[in-house]
Amino acid sequence: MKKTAQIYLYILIAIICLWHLPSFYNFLTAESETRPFILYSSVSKDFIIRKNEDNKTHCFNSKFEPCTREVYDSILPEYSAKQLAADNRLQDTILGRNVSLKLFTDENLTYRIKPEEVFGPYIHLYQLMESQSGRVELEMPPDVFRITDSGLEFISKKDNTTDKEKSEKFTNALKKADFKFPALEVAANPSERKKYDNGFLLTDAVGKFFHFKMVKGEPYVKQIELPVGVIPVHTFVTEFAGRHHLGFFFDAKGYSYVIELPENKIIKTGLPPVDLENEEFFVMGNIFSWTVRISGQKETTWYALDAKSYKLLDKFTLESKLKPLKGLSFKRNGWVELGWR
Amino acid sequence: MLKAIFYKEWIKTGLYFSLAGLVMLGFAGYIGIYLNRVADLAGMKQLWEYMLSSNEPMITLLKYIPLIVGIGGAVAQFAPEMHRKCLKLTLHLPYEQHKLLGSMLLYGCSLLGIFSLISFLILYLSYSNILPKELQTGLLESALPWYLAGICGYLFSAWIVLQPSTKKRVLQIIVAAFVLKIFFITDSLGAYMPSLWLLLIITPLTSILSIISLSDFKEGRQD
Repeated sequence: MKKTAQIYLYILIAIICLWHLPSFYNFLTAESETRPFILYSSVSKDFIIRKNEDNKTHCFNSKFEPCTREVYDSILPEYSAKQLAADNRLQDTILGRNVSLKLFTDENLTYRIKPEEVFGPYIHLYQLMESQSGRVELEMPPDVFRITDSGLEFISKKDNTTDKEKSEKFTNALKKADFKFPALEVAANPSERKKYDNGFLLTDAVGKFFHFKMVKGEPYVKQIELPVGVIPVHTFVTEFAGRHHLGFFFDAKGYSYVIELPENKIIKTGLPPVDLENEEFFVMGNIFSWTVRISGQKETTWYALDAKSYKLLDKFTLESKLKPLKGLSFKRNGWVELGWR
Repeated sequence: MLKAIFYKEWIKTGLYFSLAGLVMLGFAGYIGIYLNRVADLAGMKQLWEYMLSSNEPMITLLKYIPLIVGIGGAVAQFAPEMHRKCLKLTLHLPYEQHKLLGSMLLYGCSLLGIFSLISFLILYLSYSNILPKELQTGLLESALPWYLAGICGYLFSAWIVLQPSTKKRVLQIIVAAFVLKIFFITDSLGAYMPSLWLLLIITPLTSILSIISLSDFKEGRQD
């Protein structure tokens, strides 16, 4: 019995060492590595790198040839529009398009997807906001809903009781649109901070794709036609100021698709498959192009996509100098999960 | 014999465990009242929205209570035996020594287990009317590692207190501290579910560590 106890103790000590020694070594040997801010310039057809070093801002092109701050502003007018306007250097036409400070402000977009947001712990209660309340500011709904095997169940935040009438109304609306319960994927951005509400994107039990929202208290359900053989696995609703997009999604292989409004047109992007479980996805877009940053542990790659066709224009990769020692870890995407990483 | 050992342990630690039980259940009750008051004053809407957006339980005040109670329980139970050197007498009882030690540990674990179960029940009953079942489950899943840490902390403390060598005791404290850290990695609702199996293995297995200290005690190891 004493031997068993000693073996158990050694196992515990081994777990502690494999857990803490690699991270302690990584802490001691870590070097400062600041990720530069990189955007694709549709004007110069190149990636432009901005770095802050010694309290100074340095700009380079993808060949690391330096450029001045003024040049930086002029080749990235979408992001430096305010500065250009202040300097009286903002042109009326860029790349054949009439532009203005307002256009750039309205049409620029950003969206970030972190692995823990997709794969982390989540309470499966959803909030259906009123998308046309007639008010400028959005309000959180007075209820939440859960999706069961047979329908939606709205629960009042006031007294924790089921609103049977509303549940039936919204369930019937989905069933009428041939939605098969339960939902495989549910996506929305329940927040009062956004400018408007695009509701939910739902993937039903057989892989059909739906746009679902509440309009003046009534359910709005519309099936979105998917390309043959494509099933949305990870879906994201967007509420960009320009109102040209409903969201985007990734299929089982990691390929990404953009859903364009008003026809809910699905366009496959030129991006390679993204491993959302291990990579962070960040997009900054404007009227000419989208810069998509995909950051993994070993490298970060910036992709430039055409803002209309979403075809790949260019890419730029920076390898991480950090080579962290692997060890036992208890954290993975927000979960406490034992693993070697 | 088990009954007699439990009675002997109760005479020694009855007061501590009665007070500790009151503290543990009192905190669970307080958390229940606190959540209900927040729901009354700020509104259930605010409470739900906060929990859904932050994914954090609103019961973190409870976090280290089971651990403190568990550590205290082991000290109350085994420190007098070591201090008054009456463990030798205990070991001379007509009962197999490992069984004797096991019974003593079972006594403490049972009491902590009962306190934990009642605390869980108090928590559940106090917010079952103000939270939907998904949030109720999330809260209980968040609290479960803390209660397991209470029992595990008790077993580690017993192992440490029974150790006669101070040098070894220091090393044991370090091991215990690192292992107990596993129970407090995050507070996120439901985040421990993939690792619950590990906590459920570590907790009962930790009871066998006291055999090492008992063996060192019997061999008369000292610094």
